Amino acid sequence: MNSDEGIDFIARAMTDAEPRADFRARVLASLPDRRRRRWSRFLVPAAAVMAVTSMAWLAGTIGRRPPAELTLARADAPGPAEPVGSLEAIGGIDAAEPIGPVGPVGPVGPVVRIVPVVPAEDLAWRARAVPRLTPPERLAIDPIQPKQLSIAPISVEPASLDPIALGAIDSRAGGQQN
Amino acid sequence: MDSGSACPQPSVDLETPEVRGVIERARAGDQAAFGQLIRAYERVVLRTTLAALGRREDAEDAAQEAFLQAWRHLPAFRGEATFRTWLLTIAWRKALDRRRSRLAWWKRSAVAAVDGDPFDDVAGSAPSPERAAIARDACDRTRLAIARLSPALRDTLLLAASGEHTYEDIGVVLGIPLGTVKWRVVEARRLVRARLEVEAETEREHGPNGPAGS
Repeated sequence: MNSDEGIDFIARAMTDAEPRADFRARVLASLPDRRRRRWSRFLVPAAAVMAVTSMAWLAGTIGRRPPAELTLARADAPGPAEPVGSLEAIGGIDAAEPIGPVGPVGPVGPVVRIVPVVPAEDLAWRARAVPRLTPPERLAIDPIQPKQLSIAPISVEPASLDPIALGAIDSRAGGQQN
Repeated sequence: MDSGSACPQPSVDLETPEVRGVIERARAGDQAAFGQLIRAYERVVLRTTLAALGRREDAEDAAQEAFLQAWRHLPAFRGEATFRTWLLTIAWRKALDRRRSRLAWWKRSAVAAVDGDPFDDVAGSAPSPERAAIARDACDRTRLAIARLSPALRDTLLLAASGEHTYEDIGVVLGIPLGTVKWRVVEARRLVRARLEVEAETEREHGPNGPAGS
């Protein structure tokens, strides 16, 4: 057994094993359903995105006025030398100036002008008359003057102290004072 | 078992288009397809984990964990290595995790030997009369000598000798260069041979029970 062949023989025997018959079944029984996990993994982010989108849509719907509808109106065909393409302004304002001369391009088809149709209530809102406001009353400003200061002069009288009177000190025994 | 080959011939994994199709189905979540992969690779995975752990029960648990992790991470498998190598790398890491945790448990419970190697239960720590009697057998002595190798040499030798891996695969699984794999195998054999020769010399001088008082 001292040869390499013998060592390899023993080494191989040390790792020689066959899996049990139920090994595969045990592994399969322990497998999680990856398909379900894959779907559930996206559920929460998808729900969050949907919630945010719904909130944004609701906020936009509530705070938004109905927009002006745009319709296409046909205009007469211009002459060959006329400028092509103009856009009428919104709400009864005069037509906008032509974009610019294009030059002779020959006969062209009818020009399509974009005329916005503004709802009646929107027009009424635009044409509303704002009542003139009355000017405010003029402000009267009282002059601010401090009252005359009257401070009495301070008089200081000289201090007068009575002299302290002391009796004669008897120096006899006992130190009695008369 | 063929004992005549100096270097065992590894099984070749070609990953045919059929196998790749099964892998793709398993990636998509087909458990039946993954069952086919388990059937194809359970043996080599078990032998790989057994090389690291030395105990069949631990090796089976590690192999099961490896398949479970492979199932979880299969969608991330990009095919840079073969599926077999990828799976064996997972299995080897699982086995090493288990070996480390077992070492920690042994050290905590103060049951471990000085070096605390899991193969100590194969190698034995004290030459009891019974063990000495068993060690008379040449196979057992060789097995003990292999078990007493350092983990790095023993792992490489066992993986190489298992006949399931090429040296290149062993390098990928262990994370070492091909030259290091070859050197470790040669060095492991040399150390085992030297140890057996020392034991044989001792036995010739002092008899089968070794030096007196040992």
